[in-house]
Amino acid sequence: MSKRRFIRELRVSLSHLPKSEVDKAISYYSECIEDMLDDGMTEEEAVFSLDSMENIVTTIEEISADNGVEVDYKKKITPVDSEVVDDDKKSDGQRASNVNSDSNDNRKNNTNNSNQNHQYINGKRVDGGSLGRDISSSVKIAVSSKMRAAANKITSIATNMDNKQKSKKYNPYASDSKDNYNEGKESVSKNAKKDASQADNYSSYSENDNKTMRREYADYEYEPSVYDKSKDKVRDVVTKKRSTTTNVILGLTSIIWAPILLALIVAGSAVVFGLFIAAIAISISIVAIIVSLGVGGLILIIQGVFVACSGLVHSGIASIGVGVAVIGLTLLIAKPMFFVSGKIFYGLLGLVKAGYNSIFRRRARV
Amino acid sequence: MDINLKRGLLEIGVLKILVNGDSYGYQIVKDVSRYVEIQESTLYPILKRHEASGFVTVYSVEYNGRLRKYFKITREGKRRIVSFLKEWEEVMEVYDFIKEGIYE
Repeated sequence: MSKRRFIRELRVSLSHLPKSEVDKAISYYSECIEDMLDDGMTEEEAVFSLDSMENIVTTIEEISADNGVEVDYKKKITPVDSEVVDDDKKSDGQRASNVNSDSNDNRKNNTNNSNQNHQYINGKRVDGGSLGRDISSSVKIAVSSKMRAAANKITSIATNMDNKQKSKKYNPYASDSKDNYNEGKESVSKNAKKDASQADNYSSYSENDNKTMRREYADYEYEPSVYDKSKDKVRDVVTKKRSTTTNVILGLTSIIWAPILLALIVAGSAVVFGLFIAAIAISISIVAIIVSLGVGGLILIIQGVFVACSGLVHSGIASIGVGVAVIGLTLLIAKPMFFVSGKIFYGLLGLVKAGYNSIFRRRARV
Repeated sequence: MDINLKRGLLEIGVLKILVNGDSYGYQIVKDVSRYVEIQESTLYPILKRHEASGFVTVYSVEYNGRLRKYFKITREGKRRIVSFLKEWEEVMEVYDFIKEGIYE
């Protein structure tokens, strides 16, 4: 199991505790795993060396209760372990190594392995191996119509989950649920021997559990324990999706701002143009001074200054005028546009109503 | 070893490790494991209890682009160790009394 997934499962498993307690626990385990990685372990090894999720959660619950934190057990969620197949493969190798060695490490690994090698049916823990044995022993049970119904039900749920998975971008457990359902589907469809009530429990639990998890992660994607240098602390990065209302508000704001921005651009251009004229006038004045230093030159200088001032004043007036004109024009156009679009909307609504009424009436006649 | 006895020893063991110098979760687990087996999940509640009792204080240090929590023993923490050692002397008296004549 990767660190990311371990943290996610821990967060889900602790969802019945206050957020502050959950964050403290996640920060602690995240730090432990990071230290193990720095110590040369792989992510898988680091997570594997930790206690089972069940024990970790129980310990945190106990310490929270000791510290007077209210623990709401009704909200407790137990994640479905999707690594049952992989763990079965691991357990073969593990069993072989246990025959040859009786060291503490192996006993520890074996314990951890058996802890991970399980899934939950209606909150009751079932070992992957024992589930397999249950299935194989139930081969002896005759195929009944109830079992076939259970198999069909699981197949339909699995198909439904496949479809849901495609449409859910933020569901980290989607692939897990698919695996679980496929496994459940194959167990029942191929063998058709599994106890029907067990199959029902399994499917309903997985469905409810995944629904809850999907609710947990539907609104945000969580990346825990990122070090923020600017704030000198570890922060949680929560990327929230933008709501539809926000999108509508942003859209309307852009519609209002567009003509204002246009007006500002036009006014700015007018100012630049006025300054350009003033610059020309000043240039003429300078030329006049050079050409003639007499009375004629002085007149030309005064004329030049006058033209320059006039250019500046004109540019200012022009910019204000253009701005006012553009805003006025925008308001003038906007009002009828809203009016017309409203009419068009109600017109279309009328058409839809008319179409619906005609179909309804036709059906009523039939 | 009895689970309660082990828990009590671990609590004092963690404080003793911190007497040697400030340390962090994973390092404490490694150091204590030399004497008593301990896992990260066992250490977590011990540290929380010590923190709540005022036996340790916590501070963070930047390490490899992340924050690492260091635990520092307080004066009360050191007093707790002394108190434990005194209690243990009484336990040893009872131990000697129980042991007397048993293996003969």
